Amino acid sequence: MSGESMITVKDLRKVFKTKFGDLVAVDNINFEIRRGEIFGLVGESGSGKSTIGSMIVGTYPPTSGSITFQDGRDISKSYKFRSQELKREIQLVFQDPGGSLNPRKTIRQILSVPLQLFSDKHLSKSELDERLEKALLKVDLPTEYLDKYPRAIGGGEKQLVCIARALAADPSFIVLDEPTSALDVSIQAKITNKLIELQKENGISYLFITHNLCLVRNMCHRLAIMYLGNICEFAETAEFFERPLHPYTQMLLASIPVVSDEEEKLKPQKIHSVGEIPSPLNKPSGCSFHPRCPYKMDICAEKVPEMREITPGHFACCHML
Amino acid sequence: MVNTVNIQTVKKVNPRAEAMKKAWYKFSRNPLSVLGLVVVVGVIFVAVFATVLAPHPEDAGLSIHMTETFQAPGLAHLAGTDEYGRDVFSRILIGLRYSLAIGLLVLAISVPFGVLMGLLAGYYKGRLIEAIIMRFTELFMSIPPLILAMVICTMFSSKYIFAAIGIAVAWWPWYTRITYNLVTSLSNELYIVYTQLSGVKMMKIIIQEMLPNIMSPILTKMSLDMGSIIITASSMSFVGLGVQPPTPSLGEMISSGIKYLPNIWWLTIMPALMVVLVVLGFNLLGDGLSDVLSVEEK
Repeated sequence: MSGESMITVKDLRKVFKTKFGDLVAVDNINFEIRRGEIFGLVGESGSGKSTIGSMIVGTYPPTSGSITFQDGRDISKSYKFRSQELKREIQLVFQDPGGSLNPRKTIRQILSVPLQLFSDKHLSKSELDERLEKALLKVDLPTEYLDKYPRAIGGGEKQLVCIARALAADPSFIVLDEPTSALDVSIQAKITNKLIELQKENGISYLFITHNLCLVRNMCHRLAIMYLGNICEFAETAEFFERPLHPYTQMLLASIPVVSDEEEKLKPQKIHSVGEIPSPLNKPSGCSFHPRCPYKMDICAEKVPEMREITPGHFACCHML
Repeated sequence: MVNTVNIQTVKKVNPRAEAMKKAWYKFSRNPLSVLGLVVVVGVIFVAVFATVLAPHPEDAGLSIHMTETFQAPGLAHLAGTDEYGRDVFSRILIGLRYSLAIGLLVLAISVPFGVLMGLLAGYYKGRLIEAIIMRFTELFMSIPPLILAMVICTMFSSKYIFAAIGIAVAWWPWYTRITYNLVTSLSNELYIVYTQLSGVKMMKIIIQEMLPNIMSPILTKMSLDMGSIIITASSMSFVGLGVQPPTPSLGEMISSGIKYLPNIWWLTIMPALMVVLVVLGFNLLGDGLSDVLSVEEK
């Protein structure tokens, strides 16, 4: 893994206007994804992780802050203002594979869209067929699937088609927005392994958005934990599981369901989950985690903690550390 | 599991033909849908060959048989005879032809126009053109179709073709509304979001990605509407707009027979039964189509 930067996010902030007031979906987000890296973004629903993914692919622009791509191209704008080249380089896989494939189109028609759209020349019928077959083989699906409709194949296979569609654009970066959470557990492992394999083969980078910590451990090189629109901890995966620093992270790790007592012992510390994530419309003062935090101090309700590097490469934002 | 060795030898199947086959299988499993199809095909057949099938085709006109007036339904006259001694059965068959033709004509005008307007409003969402189209749609929808059709028909001419145009003018907003709503809800579908993010042109998205998903509700509505249009056209003939006597239409026959009720019942009941049959047939077919065309099929 080279240290070259793929995506740099600086002071990112997104505010949605709602009829109940301004909703700060994400705020003060800083991170960098390197070339060839799988970067994990973990958090509960409502933590703002998908909002970040959406801004990177350009569904909507950030309210303030910047996203820079590779050599410094500014991509903090919506898809309408992005170049076709940029759209090709940054691809997206959604959570719901059923909803991301047009039910009235065959797999052939679905995969033809990016192949033709992002090809530098007009593809002849035979060239297109050849590339279509290649695209399916990349994700280990038989070529006869080309003439099937999405409803005729399984959920995991649909997600593989979505991955093939993203790869067909020949991207350098893919945002995976909870790509396995709509699938059966047995298929989840197959998809994640395939994703890792494809990442190694093609040298692309992923932003892997998930709420599943177990998946992150096998997949990601580095990861960030999000809570209510902020990143609260940020580290290399191994270091993170070894020494989780933030009380919220410890709580998350403690809440992973395990099968045996031996596994239970492997968990870092026992912090029991208290309460639920509050509404982003009504954020607590100071550190947004303080109402649920077992180590709450007076300062926590008053002052927002700053992100500090606790050990090299391991950042956390907590008054206690 | 798929045997990967055999992939090369698997016969290439046409996905569209395969889907059609499955759809037909599903359709044919529902007896009501099949009944609807049989009725519709039968009615169209009868309408096309009305002059051949009618025992007394000349009775569609001004012929008068003074010796045979007001005969009750029987073997000589299946649906009896009217005040001029004309064979009601023959008049129903020929009247059916006009009723069906008006239904098809109305759909042929209102559906393409309505769908186009809906697509335009969806395409220009948030712009002035969307507001203009949708406000016009609401304006036209706020007037009962029968009244609107009658006004237009009386403004121009009471001729058959103007009756169809009048009904079409009252009918298109419903197709605009449906199309617009479908385009709007489809815009949130992930597969549409994907094409937008990838930079596919909006016009291409609407035609290639959305239209196939819109067609099935539209087709279903068309077959369901056929019945309503025939009833509307009948109601217009009832007040003398559209098909003019002595040319028979189902609505005109009902209206002119009504003064002989209840003793000479067949002058109204017989054509009314034909209206019921046609409406029922198209409705059953429409229901069947909507079942088959829905995507959730396995």
